[in-house]
Amino acid sequence: MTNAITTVNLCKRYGETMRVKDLALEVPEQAVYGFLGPNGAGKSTTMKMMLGLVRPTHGTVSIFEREVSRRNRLSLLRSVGALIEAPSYYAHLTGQENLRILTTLRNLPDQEIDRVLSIVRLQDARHQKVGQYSLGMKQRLGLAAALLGTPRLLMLDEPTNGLDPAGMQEVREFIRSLPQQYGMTVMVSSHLLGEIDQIADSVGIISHGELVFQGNLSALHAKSHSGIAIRTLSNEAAQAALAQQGIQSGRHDGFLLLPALSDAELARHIGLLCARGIGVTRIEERRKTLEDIFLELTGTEVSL
Amino acid sequence: MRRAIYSEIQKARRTKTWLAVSVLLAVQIAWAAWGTGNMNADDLRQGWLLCLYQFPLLNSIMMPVIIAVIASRLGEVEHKGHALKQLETMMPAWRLFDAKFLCGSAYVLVAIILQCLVVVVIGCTRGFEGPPPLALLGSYLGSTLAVSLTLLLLEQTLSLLFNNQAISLAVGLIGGFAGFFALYLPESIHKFIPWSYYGLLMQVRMNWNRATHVTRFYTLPLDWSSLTVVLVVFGAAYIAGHVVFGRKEV
Repeated sequence: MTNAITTVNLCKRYGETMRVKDLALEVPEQAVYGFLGPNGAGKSTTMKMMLGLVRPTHGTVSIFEREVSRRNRLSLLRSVGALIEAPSYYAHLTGQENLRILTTLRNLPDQEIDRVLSIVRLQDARHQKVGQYSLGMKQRLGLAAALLGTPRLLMLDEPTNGLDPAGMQEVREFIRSLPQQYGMTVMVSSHLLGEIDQIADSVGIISHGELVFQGNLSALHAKSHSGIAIRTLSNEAAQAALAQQGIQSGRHDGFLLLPALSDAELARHIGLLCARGIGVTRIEERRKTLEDIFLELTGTEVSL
Repeated sequence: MRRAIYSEIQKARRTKTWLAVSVLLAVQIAWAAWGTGNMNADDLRQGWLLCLYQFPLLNSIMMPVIIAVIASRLGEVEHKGHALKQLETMMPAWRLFDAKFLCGSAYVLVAIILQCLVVVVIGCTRGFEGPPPLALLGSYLGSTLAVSLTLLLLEQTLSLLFNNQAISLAVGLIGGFAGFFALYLPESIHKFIPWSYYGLLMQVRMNWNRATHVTRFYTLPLDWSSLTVVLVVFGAAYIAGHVVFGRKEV
């Protein structure tokens, strides 16, 4: 499968701060790519560099296998729709007038306005000034603007910001449907792990400007292995007894941490400990969640 | 470019930018009407020159403010709704700069043409002696346009660079006052203030006799050296505006 976006050694420095470091992203075509990272990790800066709104300090960006240069940037961006950070709008104009400016600039027919307004369910507010829109409505308008002309690649930076829970769910389902319905590639950034888990096929995790994970979401899920934690009256003796049975364990916070075991194996080992007079006081299943993995990778608190 | 200009016209809806131009004209009409009331035969003989002396002086205070308002309206619509980052995925920054400049120029051009019409209408209704001095009006229009468009370039660059439009408005306000009061300073000083060129390019000057209290207006040939300075500053401001705005990251 070819990539819709590829970056090689992409860097951005502001003064002494390296905001983005040697980023090598690969966004596969006709899929939803989740670009995940805590606030301030460098997601928006990266997406702006992809669109040519911010000049990279170093590195290259390719869109549909063509390296972006000053000369070809705008022709490549004709097949890209984008919503970066806050939605762009003219507060003194109506929603329809806002979109008409974009259809004028992109030389698209007026029917496109009706089509995208109905997709984001803003038909009823089309004649209302955008200054009177709620944040969620502005976000929908920004999404409508990005969808004009049915671009091959959609870049959405935190598209559910400002939406109510129902609106968030609706937008997520809509994004999820785009590759199948229109053959689009969607790159969507978020600081919400649960959101990316719901909509993305593959994911890139960025922390402090560096890519810490990239791959299928299933590969990320595979890291979420489970284990068994037990507490005994003598963890030292229990650890030795288990080691004799070939079970390696670690000690953490008053518990012995064992690898994942079947119910029969676990029952056998617990029986053995009891037979040796080592009282077992707690048995818990420990599962490493996606949040734990995200926390490990980014070294930050998870936003939920 | 045609689509970029048309999109600027679409954005201009409900911005009430014409209000600024109308205020300028209303003040100039009121000033001219007051200044040309109760004129005797001698005053009527000098009527055209009186108007063409007063209007550039008024312009040196008012036009910089009006131009700052026009430029800030053109820039503010983009900053307020974070629109630059969307527009610059569709067209190069220089094209947006040019489209905005052409739209701003249209406001300025119409304002100056209307000023000339106001002079003609007042002259005809008051009964100034002789026909309207078309050559003087023509060079007034040309020199006022050259200075105004140069200031528009400076103001537009500021209004597009800074989100806070108070900066370009303050520069317009301070520049207007500096340009007007610099006219009382030696020419070697006010030659360096772009806002004072409305006064420098005036072709009508005044002699006031302290003893008789008689005012005599007279004309001078166009100051080509000052006009050349204005055109050079225009060129430099245009190139600088393109480069600076083109390099701005959004």
